[in-house]
Amino acid sequence: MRVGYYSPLPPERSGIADYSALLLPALARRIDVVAARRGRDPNRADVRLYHVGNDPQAHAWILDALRRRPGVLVLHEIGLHELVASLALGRGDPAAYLDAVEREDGPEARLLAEAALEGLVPPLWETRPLDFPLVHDLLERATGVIVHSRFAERRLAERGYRGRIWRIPFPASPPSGAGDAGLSADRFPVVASLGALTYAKRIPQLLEAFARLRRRFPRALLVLAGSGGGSLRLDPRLERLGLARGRDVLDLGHVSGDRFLGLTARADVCVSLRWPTLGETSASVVGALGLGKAVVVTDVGWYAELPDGVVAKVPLGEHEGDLLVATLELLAEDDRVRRGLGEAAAAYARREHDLERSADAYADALREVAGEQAGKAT
Amino acid sequence: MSAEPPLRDEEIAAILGRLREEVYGRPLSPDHSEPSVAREEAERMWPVSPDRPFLEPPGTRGRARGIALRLPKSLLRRLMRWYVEPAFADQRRFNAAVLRLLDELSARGDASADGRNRGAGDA
Repeated sequence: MRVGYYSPLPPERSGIADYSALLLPALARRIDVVAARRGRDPNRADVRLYHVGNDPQAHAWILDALRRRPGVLVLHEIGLHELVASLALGRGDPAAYLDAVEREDGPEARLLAEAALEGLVPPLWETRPLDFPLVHDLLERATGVIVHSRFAERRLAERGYRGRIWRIPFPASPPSGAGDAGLSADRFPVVASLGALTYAKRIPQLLEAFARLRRRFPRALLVLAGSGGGSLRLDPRLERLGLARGRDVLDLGHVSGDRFLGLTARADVCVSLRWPTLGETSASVVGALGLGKAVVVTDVGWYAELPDGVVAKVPLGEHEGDLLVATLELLAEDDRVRRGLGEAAAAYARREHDLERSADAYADALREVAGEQAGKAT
Repeated sequence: MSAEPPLRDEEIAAILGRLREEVYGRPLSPDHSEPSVAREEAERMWPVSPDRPFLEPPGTRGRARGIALRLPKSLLRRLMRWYVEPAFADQRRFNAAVLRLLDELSARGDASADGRNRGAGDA
């Protein structure tokens, strides 16, 4: 059996490229797998595996390939509204976007999408990506779907998908020497929010909570690392909160994989808030769990599936800010809770996010599809 | 080094659960903001800036066009900054002031509603 593997790969800056860089070698030890190059289909493949996320630059060619030849779809996010909208609007074809919305969710959804395009309501991909996930066209071309969480599995079933779904946990990188974080040793607590910096990561809410934490812990440092920070317009936000860039908050932009690991290892607390969720599994959270860090997440989607004693969860709502501050203060002042949470996280990552087990599950799923296809052919 | 044995998962979950109950039982901090879609949008949009991310149309051709235009766009932005930035700075101050004003009005409204409720309770 030969598998055609369609995914962005390093040096592309994409979480899914990093995911594939981790998974591909482990998969290649089990099955014959050939990575497709941008815009080119592998000549001979018994099964094709398509990795899809919301970045149009990284995934447009993969969608085109899926439309040409069906295969197994790996949905890293189950809300693909932003991908579909970006592709259609980027090509100057708003009608294609509106048609896609209407095909999947009816004329009322189309009216909402039209209002969003006119600027009358916020874009649907920012506020309601899972109400209007725009996955139907892709699912129709899939011979099966791989997701990373029960949440994603359930949402696909709720959207009426009746094909095969395999739930394969997101693998954590095996522990290795982390690079130098380059941070002063006397800062405590170091709070880190790592990975792409977007509004969905609730960075404005985190900044407000951090400003309150600093009143009790003046040596606290907030580290933001990941691309996209420019669109958050951090400087006026910091100014309003009395925080200084460089002194209180480091916005490092995109960093190398080694530095990313180094920053995670140096952090006392990793925070990964999220709303709205796209049904994603966070690579930075899985990485932080693997490194035995105390992690704070929003109590939604996949994050809510993590056990209560493994991460600290903050529900959305009017108490979000107060609970986030109280949680950060607790983790800063109680070494036992912080270390205990980190140890529980590391043990959980070893149990649930093992790379070899994930690669086994992929190989089994692909063999199953290849077997079914061979059965149909005879 | 702490000589105490490490906390078990259930103990940590219980500590975090108690913290949540305690926070939910307290009056909200004056710094809290009421969650709403409109408020989230306002929080997202108030710091207006002429510095917007460079976007590229999808596809190889779109990417090449985006990369080719990046330099002239950056140059034009720098040349025009002295003219547009002061107006944007004023607009940011105004937007932030409006949000603060809304928060103050909201807090006053909450306080007055609490007062009325207490009055009704006493009566």
